[in-house]
Amino acid sequence: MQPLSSQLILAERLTLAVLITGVISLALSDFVSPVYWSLLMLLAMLRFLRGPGFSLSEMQASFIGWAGFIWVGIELALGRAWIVAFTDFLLILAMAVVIESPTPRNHLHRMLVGMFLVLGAAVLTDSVLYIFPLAAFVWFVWRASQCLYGMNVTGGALPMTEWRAEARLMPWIGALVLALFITLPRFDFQTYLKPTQPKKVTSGFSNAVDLGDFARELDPTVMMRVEPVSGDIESFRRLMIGRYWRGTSLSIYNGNGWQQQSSSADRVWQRGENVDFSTGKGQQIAIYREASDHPYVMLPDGVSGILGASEAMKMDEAGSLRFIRAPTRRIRMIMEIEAARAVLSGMALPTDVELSRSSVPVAVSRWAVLTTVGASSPEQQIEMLVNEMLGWSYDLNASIDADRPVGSFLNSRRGHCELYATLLTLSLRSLGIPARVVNGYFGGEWNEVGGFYLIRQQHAHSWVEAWVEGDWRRFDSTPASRWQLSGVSFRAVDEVWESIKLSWYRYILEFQNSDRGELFQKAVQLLKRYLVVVMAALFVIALVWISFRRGVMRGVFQRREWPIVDRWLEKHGVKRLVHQPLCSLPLPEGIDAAAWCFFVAAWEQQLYGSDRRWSRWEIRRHLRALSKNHC
Amino acid sequence: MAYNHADLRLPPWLLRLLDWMVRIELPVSTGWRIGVTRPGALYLSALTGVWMAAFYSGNNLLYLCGSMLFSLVAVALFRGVQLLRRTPQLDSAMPEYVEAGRQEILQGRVSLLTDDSASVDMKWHAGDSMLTGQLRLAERGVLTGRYFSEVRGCARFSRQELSTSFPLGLWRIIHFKKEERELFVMPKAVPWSDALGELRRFEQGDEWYGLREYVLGDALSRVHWRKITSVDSGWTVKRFDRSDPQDQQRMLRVDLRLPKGLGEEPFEKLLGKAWYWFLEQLPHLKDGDLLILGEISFNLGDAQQRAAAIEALASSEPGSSAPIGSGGILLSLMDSD
Repeated sequence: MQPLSSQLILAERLTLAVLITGVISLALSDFVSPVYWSLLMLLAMLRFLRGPGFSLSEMQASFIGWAGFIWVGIELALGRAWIVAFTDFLLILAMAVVIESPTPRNHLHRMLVGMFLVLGAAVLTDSVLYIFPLAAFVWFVWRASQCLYGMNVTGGALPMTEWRAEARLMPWIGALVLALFITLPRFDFQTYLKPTQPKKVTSGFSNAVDLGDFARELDPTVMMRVEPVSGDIESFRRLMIGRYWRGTSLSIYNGNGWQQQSSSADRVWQRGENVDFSTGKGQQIAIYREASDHPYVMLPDGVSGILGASEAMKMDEAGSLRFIRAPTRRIRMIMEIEAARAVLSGMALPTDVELSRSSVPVAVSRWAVLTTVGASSPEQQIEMLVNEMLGWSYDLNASIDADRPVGSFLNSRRGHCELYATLLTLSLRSLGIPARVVNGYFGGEWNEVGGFYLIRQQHAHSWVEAWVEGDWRRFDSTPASRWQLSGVSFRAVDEVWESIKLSWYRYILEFQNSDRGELFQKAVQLLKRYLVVVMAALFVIALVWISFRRGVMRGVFQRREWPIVDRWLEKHGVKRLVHQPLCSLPLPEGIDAAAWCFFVAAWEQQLYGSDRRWSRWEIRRHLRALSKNHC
Repeated sequence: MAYNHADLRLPPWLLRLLDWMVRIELPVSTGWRIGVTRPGALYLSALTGVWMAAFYSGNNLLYLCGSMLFSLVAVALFRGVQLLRRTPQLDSAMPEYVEAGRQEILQGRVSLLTDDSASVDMKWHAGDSMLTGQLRLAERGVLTGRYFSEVRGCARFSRQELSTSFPLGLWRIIHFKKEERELFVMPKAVPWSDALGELRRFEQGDEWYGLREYVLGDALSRVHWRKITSVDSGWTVKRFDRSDPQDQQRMLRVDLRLPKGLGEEPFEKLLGKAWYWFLEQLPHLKDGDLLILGEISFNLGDAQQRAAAIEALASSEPGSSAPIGSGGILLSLMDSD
């Protein structure tokens, strides 16, 4: 085996780090099997600890690569998505590259595979944590490239530049990245390579729901984030507080659960079209809908329209709006919402199904009649029923009798929102009032840090829509104690984290051409508002810069020795440039030449050689001695 | 062992493609050209792929990746340009003269204080000849180079070509600079030390007659060690002759006349002997020592005249007059009168 050059030894850990950052970025994706990346990390750690001694020959490593190729072929044949299969192949290839003998080709392979892993992660994850391995990747690519290709010059390799010296460049790189990211145009030809996310699993948003399957868990998974497009935060908060988010409307009761009624006249909107529900105009809000296993679009009370549908969608006669294909990634929608909290307008008249008493248990009918004794109008009947039920107990863990769920609930008077909505709907039908159950979300959680609303899965809710005086009206008989329950732990930390995530989605993942102008306007507004602060900051920066240039603070940032020497030199008529060593300077005025030569030699020896570094006090002492040596 | 790009063992077609890319040098400004190295060509190809994917998909994370990778190469390019702009004049590291017909290895320090480790290749053209060198920066700058000229004379360097792939080895940045410098190419020294040595031994003898103060250039063998009593006491050297060579006036008269029929070679040898004499006497030169080249006399004790003597030796042409003055050592190709 040939001895390794110093570059290859030095690059060993750097290129390994490049590869590891790629693996970490891909591990953030939920699509990648932990088996692949954890095995790879184990191999990388072994290589890191044991060095090039833990290696396979190129031939042996190539067998692993080929095995990976065949395995991925099998995966594709079994129906795995090609991008995931490709990522698996890259991870297997990375395993081969990690433990391959350290040759120049191996280092190049590591860097290329690392880059492909980072790029694959850009498609397979949308996590905010992606920024960390990406930044580390750039840093290690810089160092590894410098080591492999920058320092290996004819006549022997140069030592690596100190990382502190390189770190000074990072703010400039950051600024350039920001400028490029903002200014470069976006061409949205297709969405296939957009960041994807696994679909959030829900229940209750489908054509058929069994009682007990919906809204029974305090699941803190975030389903939607809502923020204002314009206007102040406080008015947005007031506007959105306590809104119902309408999802599916269920009309057919089968004794154990609910089913949707088939619709014969769906309204369809294509991608990019505006969806109008009413002529009213309201405040614009932006909704970030997580990818979920159902296609329904949640519509808040008072919604008047959706600006530019992000995907093709359709709405049935009962007012359930859904995407034609459930999106596989997060969708940003702009809705207009009015202050009035009216139920969605434009829904069809009640059907026979919504008045059907065939599945209403006798006990429910009897209870409804007894409860509404004395009521003179349907409104009074509904009010009496709702008031009665609001006094019952809310219990997520109450058992549900599969044979007669509503009857047992009526006896125990304990249950969750789905049971309350079912009982009220069936009671109204028994009284001759058309009614149906609606599944959606209620309220939400206000994030103080970011100034936006979060709709979590724990906010899933069932309520009732009843046909009263020629209009569909909403009634909610669930006790208010329901909204005191929450599954969120560490609330303060969660608020900060969610705020960071929304910023990531808003300003990175969903950044569009139209945001550029808005960002510029915001920057101008901020500049106007904080003009005095900005000017003061610029003034301070200018002062610091001038001081830096003059050498007053250079010692803080660079080498503390130079400012002392520079001041002494200026006293003796010599102006030193930053890059000039002492040996290149002319003889200072009034100083003995031999003493100066001796001083320069000693200075260089302590600065660059093996001698102990002088303290500031020692430097001054040497310079005083030099000053006494007049010629 | 320096890292060798050939170790990448890329497929031949890719190597040919990369070599074609590497040969391209884009003129970006007056005196500036930019090309890519092989790793740079690979890197830029990958970056192009990233940008194509980003533009095609509108994936902002790909935009972010592309921006970061592009920033990397842009900052690398900027740093390379900055380094070449900061590279100081290299003439301070150059020797005053070199000898014709000999590969001269040059080495000198350059006044540039930097935290970077970098290497700058240099080509400095002087007519047909060229000085090639490398400036290595690692805490301090050291210039190493080589120069070869068959012809004696004054090499006038004018167009300097500096190139570097600092810091990442991705770009090849070439900067053409006008930096003028003269380098005297002296005749190849022709030793005639035997004769001179014999002469000295004859003059000195074995007995020493006195002591004098040590001066720079005195042989250590002549130091009277037993007379040194402390570190601070001055050194003394033994005087072997009442008329010490230090006190004698040195003079070389060179007859630049070239007899008819003789080629250039004897003339160059003549100058080579004169140059050898100059080098031999250099440590002991004092005011009044003379080198006479034809009709021009140079007082070698004077620094300016010494420099003029070097220039005159480098650019001497055959003359028509006998050397002026008398005495000293005469070098001539003419038959004695």
